[in-house]
Amino acid sequence: MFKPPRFSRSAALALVITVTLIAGVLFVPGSLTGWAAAPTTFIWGKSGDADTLDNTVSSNGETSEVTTQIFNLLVRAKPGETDIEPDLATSWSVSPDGLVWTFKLRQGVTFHDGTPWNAEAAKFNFDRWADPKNPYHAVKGFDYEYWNDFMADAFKEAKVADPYTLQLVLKKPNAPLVYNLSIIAFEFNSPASIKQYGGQGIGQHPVGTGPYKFVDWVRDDHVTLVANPSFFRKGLPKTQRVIERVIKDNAARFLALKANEIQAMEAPNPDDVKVAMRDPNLKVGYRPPFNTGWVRFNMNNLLFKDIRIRKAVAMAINRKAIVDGLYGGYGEVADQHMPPTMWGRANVAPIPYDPAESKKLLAEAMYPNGFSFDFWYIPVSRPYFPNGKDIGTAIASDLGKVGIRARLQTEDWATYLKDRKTNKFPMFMIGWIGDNGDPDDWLGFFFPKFDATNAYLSYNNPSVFDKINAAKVATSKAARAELYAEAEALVMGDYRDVPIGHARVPLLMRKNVQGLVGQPDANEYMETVWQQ
Amino acid sequence: MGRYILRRAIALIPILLGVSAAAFLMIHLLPGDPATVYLGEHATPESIARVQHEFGLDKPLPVQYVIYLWDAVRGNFGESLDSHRPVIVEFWPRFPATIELTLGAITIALLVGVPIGILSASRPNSIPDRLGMGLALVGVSLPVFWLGLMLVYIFSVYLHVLPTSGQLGVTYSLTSITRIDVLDGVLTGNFAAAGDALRHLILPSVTLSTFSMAIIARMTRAAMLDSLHQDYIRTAYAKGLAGKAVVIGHGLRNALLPVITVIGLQVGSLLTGAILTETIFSWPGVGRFMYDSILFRDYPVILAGILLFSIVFVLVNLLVDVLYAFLDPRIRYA
Repeated sequence: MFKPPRFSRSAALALVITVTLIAGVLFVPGSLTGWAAAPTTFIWGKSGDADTLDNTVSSNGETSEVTTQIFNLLVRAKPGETDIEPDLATSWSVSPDGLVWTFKLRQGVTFHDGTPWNAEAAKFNFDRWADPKNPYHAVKGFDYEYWNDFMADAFKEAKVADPYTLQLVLKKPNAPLVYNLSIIAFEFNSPASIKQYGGQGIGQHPVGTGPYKFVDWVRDDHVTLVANPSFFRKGLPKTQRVIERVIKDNAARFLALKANEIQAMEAPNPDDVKVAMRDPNLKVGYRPPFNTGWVRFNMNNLLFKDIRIRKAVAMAINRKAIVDGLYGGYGEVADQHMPPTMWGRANVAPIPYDPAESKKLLAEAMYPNGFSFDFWYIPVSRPYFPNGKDIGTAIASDLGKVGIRARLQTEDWATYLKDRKTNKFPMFMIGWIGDNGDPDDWLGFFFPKFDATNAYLSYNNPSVFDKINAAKVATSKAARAELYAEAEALVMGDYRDVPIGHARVPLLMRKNVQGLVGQPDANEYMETVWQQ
Repeated sequence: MGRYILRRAIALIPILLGVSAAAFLMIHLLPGDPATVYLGEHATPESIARVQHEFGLDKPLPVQYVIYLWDAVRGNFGESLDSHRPVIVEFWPRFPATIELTLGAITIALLVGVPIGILSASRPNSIPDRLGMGLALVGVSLPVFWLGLMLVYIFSVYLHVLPTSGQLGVTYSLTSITRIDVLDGVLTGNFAAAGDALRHLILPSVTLSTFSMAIIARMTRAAMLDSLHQDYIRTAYAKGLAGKAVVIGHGLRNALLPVITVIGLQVGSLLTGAILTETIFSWPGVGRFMYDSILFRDYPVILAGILLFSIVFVLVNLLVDVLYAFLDPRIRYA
């Protein structure tokens, strides 16, 4: 009916030009694409963006990954460990009554703005953190969460003993103090910078003493840092420029690594770790396990007041099968609350997997046919429980084999965290990722007291509380370690919780990346990183 | 025409009020306390009470809604619970990024979809028609997530010719004028940055365009087929006009109305955020931002986003209607 149109020469020419233009844009050399890294630049692929670059008011791990490179602390975690080493303090001591901590400060250190680091600068920062009336204290939308949790209770004042000696005076002894100070939230900003930008502004203008100086922060995209030539650790940093680039999707971040647009990354998908192991251009590193997941009984619940039932539940769970099958190859079975990287652990025997003994215990407790109850699993993925639902299902399945009928339940994570502090949950999954290398950060948080209205604090053993409180004020590390170990042994003997697993956390990097050591607290030191 | 536009614009007000009320109510029915999200799980009860008071969360829901509306009218959408910055400040730089991606995607969709539709309609049931419609079927069916990752794998990982993600390489810096990087590069004479921004734009645009391209191709074909069977086409041929002049000049022009509707709807969808595409390509647009905000339960951002998207959608629809009225005067008087 109608004739098909015929395309003219001009149309053909337009087509050729278009194809040529597209080819021109496409086939530029790889080195011209903006993200291709020069050898003097190390690009780290992050899974999220910072909320501020003032870590004193943030508990966001994405913030800490950046601020670790910019700032120093009085003491810091040793590379790859939870134990501490000197940082801006070279040595420290505590008075016999445990009320005065004296820190000898490193000399000859300057902030990135050229102003000196000394006891006055340290005191300036402590004053800002501690005093809500300090003109630089208030930061809209943020709280001094770590200060409130770890320091506020015992802290009285900071004193300048001499230009390079700082004293922290306490209201009551606080033995974990020096380990607490290794948390990146206790970083030291330049007082001149704080005065210039104000407490609110330094979150966008971080000025520290660290190996890298802040250059720019494009929100949700990247943070650029450049080497500090005056860094006090001689020979470091080894790379001229570090860029922390935000690529939130795990698969996309992995592809960027394969394309060498980034040189290392965190939080890969488990399948991508397997691919990386086979890729000749990539390698896998690990953050040591610094987390524990466990099942907690609500001991305010009549059922779980009976130790025979708690023990029956514990023995019915095949923890090894769960860790082997559901932790992606990075897990290890937990036999107590603190992971093997910590000091102060107890010498306890693992809970055996013994369904027959479990049934026997149930019969003794007058439940030969088991019982039914609600078992709450976490709705999110955490290193200590990579898949809450699968692990919860496996536990429920194991319990079913001895006649215990667990009805799986969950709810929104924020609500879950709130409800665990009520008596809503008869039994539930929960865990912990360490903040620092002191056992108080673990046992002190899990067993501070008894509370009859709170499932989380439903364990009532005054001996445990006494030991933990004594460890909090003892000044000898050996004595403290013994007290924590004794407390943990009591807790485990009571089958208060059923520890399930600890997990290493994989990091992927290009084969030529050297010196990147996985940190238990997830804040790697990039000062030692270089590329072959 | 002016009165028509005004009439349509006034009709938007009840729509937006309805959307805002529904969104406000639904968000407040969700579990979780915004103050706890804002301060973190270690927040003290005193801090939570203070923030609840600061944000007016301790007031009755209708009062909160009226306050929210009053603030929103003045451009104050509250503060992000995640970044602790004003919501409007968070949206401001992201919207141009989404516009850039939308323009890229819709350009590709039009450049590919319309010719395929015309070619298919001009030779129905021929091999090019079957190929074109096959391509359209593939475009509709391909999961964006899969396609995006495959394109990245081929062009970035294997061929090393295009970047995997982002809007602009870190080695480039741009003076922001429009915040549309390609345009800013050209406007400031920084052609190297413009070229890099264009390279970053290609893969996400192609990924995002496939669905729209397929829809546009199929709609163009259907409308063209209908148009090419009209009497005026036969008359045009009878007058001795060339095939191209008939198909483009008479056929396409009359087939445009339904195609414009589809394009309008597609642009509306793309502007409100291509969540998957922006996530795969780390494109700093509103889609990914909304996705993150939903995961984080960032209520003020979600609420503002719903309102913003509603406004964009109704404005695009209004624009389509106006364009309709412009193209077909009968509509103005209907």
